[in-house]
Amino acid sequence: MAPSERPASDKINLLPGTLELIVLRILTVMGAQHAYAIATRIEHAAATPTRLNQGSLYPALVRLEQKGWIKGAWRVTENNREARYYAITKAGTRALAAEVDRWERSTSLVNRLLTSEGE
Amino acid sequence: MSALKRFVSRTLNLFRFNRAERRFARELTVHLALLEDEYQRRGMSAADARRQAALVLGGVEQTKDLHRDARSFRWIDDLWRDAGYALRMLRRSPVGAAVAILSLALGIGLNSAVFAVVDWVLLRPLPYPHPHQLVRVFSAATAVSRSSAPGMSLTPDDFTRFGEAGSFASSAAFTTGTRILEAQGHEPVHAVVARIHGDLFATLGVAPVIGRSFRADELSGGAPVVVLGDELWRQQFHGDPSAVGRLVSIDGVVYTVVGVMPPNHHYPTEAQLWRPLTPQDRGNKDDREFDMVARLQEHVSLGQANAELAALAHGGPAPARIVWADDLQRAEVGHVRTALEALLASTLLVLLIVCANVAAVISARANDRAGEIAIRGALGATRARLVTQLTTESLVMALLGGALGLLAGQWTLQLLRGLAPVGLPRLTEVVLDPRILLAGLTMTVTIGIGVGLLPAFRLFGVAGSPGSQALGSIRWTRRSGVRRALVLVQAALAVMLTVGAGLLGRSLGNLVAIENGFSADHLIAADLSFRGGDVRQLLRDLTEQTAAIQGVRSAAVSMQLPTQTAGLRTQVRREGASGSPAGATLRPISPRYFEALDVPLLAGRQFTNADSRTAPPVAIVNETFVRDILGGAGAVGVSLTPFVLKAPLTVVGVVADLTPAGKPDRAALYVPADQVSLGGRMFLLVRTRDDPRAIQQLLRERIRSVAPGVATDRIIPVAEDLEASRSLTRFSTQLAASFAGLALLLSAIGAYGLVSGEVVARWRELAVRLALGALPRQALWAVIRPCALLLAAGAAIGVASALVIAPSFTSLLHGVEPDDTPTLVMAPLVLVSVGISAAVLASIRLLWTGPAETLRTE
Repeated sequence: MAPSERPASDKINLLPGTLELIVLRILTVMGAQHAYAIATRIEHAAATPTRLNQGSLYPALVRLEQKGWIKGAWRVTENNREARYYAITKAGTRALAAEVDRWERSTSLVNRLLTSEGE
Repeated sequence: MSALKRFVSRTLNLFRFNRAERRFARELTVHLALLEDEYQRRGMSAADARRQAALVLGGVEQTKDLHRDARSFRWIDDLWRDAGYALRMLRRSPVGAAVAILSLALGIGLNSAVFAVVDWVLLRPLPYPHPHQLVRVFSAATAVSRSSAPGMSLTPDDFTRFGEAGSFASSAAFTTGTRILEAQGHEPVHAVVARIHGDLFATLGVAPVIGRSFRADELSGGAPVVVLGDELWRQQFHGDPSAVGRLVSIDGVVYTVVGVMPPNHHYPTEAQLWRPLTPQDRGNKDDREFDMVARLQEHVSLGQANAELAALAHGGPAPARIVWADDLQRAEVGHVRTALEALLASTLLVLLIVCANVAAVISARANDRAGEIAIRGALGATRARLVTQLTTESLVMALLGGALGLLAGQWTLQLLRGLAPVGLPRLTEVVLDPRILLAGLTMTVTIGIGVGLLPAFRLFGVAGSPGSQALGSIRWTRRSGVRRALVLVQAALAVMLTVGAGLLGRSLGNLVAIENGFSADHLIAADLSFRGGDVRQLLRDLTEQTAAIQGVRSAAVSMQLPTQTAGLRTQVRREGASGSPAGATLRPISPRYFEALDVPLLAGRQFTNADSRTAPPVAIVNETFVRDILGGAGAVGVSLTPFVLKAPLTVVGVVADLTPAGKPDRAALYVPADQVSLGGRMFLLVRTRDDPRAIQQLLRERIRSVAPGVATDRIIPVAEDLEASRSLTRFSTQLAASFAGLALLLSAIGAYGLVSGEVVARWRELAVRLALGALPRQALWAVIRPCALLLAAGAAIGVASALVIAPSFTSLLHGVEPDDTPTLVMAPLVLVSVGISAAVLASIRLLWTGPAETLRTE
């Protein structure tokens, strides 16, 4: 089944590309994490109780890994389960800085335009 | 950088699908386990926790799909799987697949081969720099239709006058002739010598690969120098570069070799060596006919050049001649254009029929699978996805057919090269080059997609309404009429081609059975060339010695082969008659000539040895002469004055006309070879009891012993020569006829498929009728009648189209009119009977199975 016909059931709607930015940021702050932990972290960060469609995290992880910005490795969790942990790479750190910069410039432009009515 | 990395990774994942799939499945399992752990901690039951985990994840399969999308190229992956699926479907019904694939292979094969030939001969530029600046210049004494006079040649005066035209950057004239060439240490051979006037090589833009071209002073002064063609150089000098500087003799005159041309230079087409025209040649009144080529000045158009030529011709001395220039390539291939175009048209029609066949197979499959498609649609497959899948299937078929087709094309091309007549320029060099292969591929893909889309779109209705009917027995074709339209088109095309095949086939039959006016079987001709002097005694000896060879029936000498009716022209007048003299062809022959050729003597007597140099001059005339010049009156005893011979002749006999390859004869005046002074080129004609090839060697030795120094390399059966003179017609006719025959076969197969499909589509109805007590005969008729009507309508359209198109190919037909009644009746009959047989066969299968069984399987 093609993805286009899936109902847009994500409970959080993020701007395209922002999910990758968030994942990179979480990995910088928290160190290596598995997908479930990353998803939980995003849900906790929301102001109101929110559930993320956790599966939608995976395409972002694949893209980041294929770009060489994060690296996955199998490790044992504290509950003694084997899980795939993703850690940010040096290239990822550099990319994060650049992406954050870009994000800030574009959001500040959008903010300015949204708040400058009537000028 | 990162984008490139990702691209590489996605590409690699195409090939490690299973590994990536396993790894991700493991990762997902852990994710779900962790989620379940949490829900159980919160107090859910294990089952609830599992359900909740899957919900939060957003579905396991969906997540896997998302992952596949991101990690690889999903569409390629799909394509891959569709192709696999398509192959499995092809295996499931191999007969239909084989019909479609083989039809495609034939269609694409034929088309690429013929297109390669057409491209090579008609479209590919000549192998000279700026080929479109090159023109042939023609001239004629009176206003003739240009298209009907492609061979009009120039006189030396014409060349002097028009060669100077300001529109031309340079120009050259040439004339070719067969001469005797002797190189040191070699037997004398015949070689085609081009005598050139002006710098031909510079005009064309070619230069010798070894040695040099002619210098300006050599050209203007007619110096004894020659440039060899590649082939002759290899034969006579074994490809030795030191040939340059050596001496050769042409008809006893010594020339110095100054250069060797490259292997791809063949202009004029048959020339084997080139030499400057000498002042003697120019003074020779026989050399009246030149061909002229010129290179246009830059920025001068053909129209401008023609305007200038017309002005020059108008201002010249009376009687005014008309002159015109035409594109060199167009002029060179003019005579084969129609044949090739007809060929291309028939192969394109074959391709159309192939398309109809493939469309029929594909739509039959789609029909069988309407239910499956509907279910897929109901389960959420998008239309785009379904269409892609169906199209992939026909594309797979097309590609298989295309691949086979290119092999077939390679093979066909070899066949074409083998069959090619001498007159087809440059055909030996034609290959299936990458452009042709690309064209073949484009054709394949277009057919694959186009034909696949047709049923795919028809199925939309079904896929879009997954309700009761689609899963049941409603067949799309019954409502759409697409199948019927296909039957109609197919029938029309097939009849058109069958009419073509019939016409060409009959024409071919006429060609084979053509009356030559003489018997060419068991006749062999030796081409002899003498270096002047009186050869009468030599010829007499030669004839006697040859006639004594075991297996020889008779031998004679003539100045011309019976395959050529043109020759020495003379004005002739009945002795004592007034009025203007008439033109006739003068044919010097030896006694027993008509016996050797098997030409019937209609009145009077033949020449004998008594008609010698000292005897009274005599002549024999042909039927055309009697009819056109003597007004049909009794000819024997009439006295004639031919202008070239001065003394009056008495007609002693009348013979039948020579009609080589069916061409009408000219008025001819045969005279005894002994009574005219002869030299130069003569032919020894020998009729044998068995295969003339058997005595070829013996004949050669005999000629050498009687006439040492005469070239004996051209001893060929006359039948072969005759064949060559009509090989172009025969070639195109044979090809077109076999292609059209093939087309008939293909469309019969196609019509069979379509008609039996039509019957199968109505099985249920037929079964119900039978179950309700209809007689098999009635039920059958109910099904067959519409098929027959459909075929008849198609056939009628086909006949009408054929009547419209056929007249444009009249030039390819011999002794058959384009509206030949037997052909026009036979063609539709053949097709309609094939179609009706198909309907009957398909219906019989149903009767065999029994209506109850049929209804159960529905």
